[in-house]
Amino acid sequence: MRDKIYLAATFIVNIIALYMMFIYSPPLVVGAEVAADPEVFRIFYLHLPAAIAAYIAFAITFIGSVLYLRKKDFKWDVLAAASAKLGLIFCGAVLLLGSIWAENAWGVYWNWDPRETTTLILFFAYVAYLAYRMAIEDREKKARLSSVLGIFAFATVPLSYLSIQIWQTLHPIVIRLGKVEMSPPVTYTLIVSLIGELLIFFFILYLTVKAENLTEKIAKVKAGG
Amino acid sequence: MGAQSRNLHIAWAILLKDLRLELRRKYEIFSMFTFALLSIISFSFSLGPAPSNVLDVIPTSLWVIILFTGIISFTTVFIREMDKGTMDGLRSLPSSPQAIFLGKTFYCFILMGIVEFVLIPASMILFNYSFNSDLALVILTFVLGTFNIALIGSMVSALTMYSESKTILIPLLTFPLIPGSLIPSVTATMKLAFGANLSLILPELRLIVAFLLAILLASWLIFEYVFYE
Repeated sequence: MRDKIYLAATFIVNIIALYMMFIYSPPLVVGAEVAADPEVFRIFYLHLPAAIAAYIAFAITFIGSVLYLRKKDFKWDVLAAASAKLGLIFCGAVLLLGSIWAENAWGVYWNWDPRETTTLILFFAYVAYLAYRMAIEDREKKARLSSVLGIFAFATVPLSYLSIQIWQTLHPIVIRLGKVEMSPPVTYTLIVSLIGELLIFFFILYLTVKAENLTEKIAKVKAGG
Repeated sequence: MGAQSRNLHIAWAILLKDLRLELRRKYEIFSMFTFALLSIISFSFSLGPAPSNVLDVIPTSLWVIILFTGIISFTTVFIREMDKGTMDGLRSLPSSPQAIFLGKTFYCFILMGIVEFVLIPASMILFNYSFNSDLALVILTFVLGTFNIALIGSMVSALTMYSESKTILIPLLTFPLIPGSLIPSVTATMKLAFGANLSLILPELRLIVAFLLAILLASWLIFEYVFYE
């Protein structure tokens, strides 16, 4: 019952977000020097929430990894791995949506901007995390060693986020020193879109963890444990 | 002997043991030298004869060569111990695992340093350029950047010694962890090639040191989870 209520809420919030994205929010050009189609700006309402969802996913992987090393309970490892998989999907979406927007705004899909580059590095860090997990057979070793890697891989998250402060970049900066540099309609649309995307993220995370736990249980029963 | 001095003594002993082994076999150091020098020659193909843009390309390309050369050395750090069956011997040593990690990191750092000692002057002779800055700053930049790579490489070597497909996993795990120090190292090297002083490369040096301290702290805290089975 609780699942159905959550799903209904997610659906309603996302329908409202879609309305706000395409009808309520005005078209916009970011930056005076950019000669872009103002309608393409609407991609921002998917791009930024996807980035935030990816960062949250990788933070959950970090926390799950730390908790596994402390408590040695496989449920934390399952959470860390599931969150990493989802984080990769959202990070891939960020790169794809960002490239589409970049082509419109700057004329090229990819120009090795520090934010683009560090986000690509972040993506590959967690590809490496999942590849590493697949290369270890023993369950306990897989959990322990990938938790260590999950802690190290998290270093790429602040590198990606702070890249616009460390290096010169073409990437627009909409939140500067805690101050939001967007008009109210854009801000409200972004907030609703963010809530909608995070609701989707947490629901898929919940389902993935549930499925992984069931898979582990089946494997345990098959092994006679 | 106190615990601290015993740990340092064991770290030093491990460093000497690995260096002695390497000098006896010479296989990895020879591979690293060959790879580094062949890479420098390959850059000449892309630049063409009498290139005018050497200073824009070669000093920063050195870091690419150093990184790939380092990856060759990572297999000798822990993976060799696992393959030879000597890991249990290391685990039975009366020291903290961090001391062993430190010894291995310095071993990796010295191997890479030996190669760079030849590689950097060789590139300067072959491409007829020089660093128009203080030699001390150039050395400092390369030392800090190389130590970062050695630190990450040692941890990656320890992680991959338990896994399958080590050959592909070592670069796959190394590359995402390297840019935090590699990017400022490359930027600082580029600036030094054009005659920068300390104040101009200070932002990059700060980034390199910050990243080094972060990786060192993380490695120090969690290495024992990798070391013990």
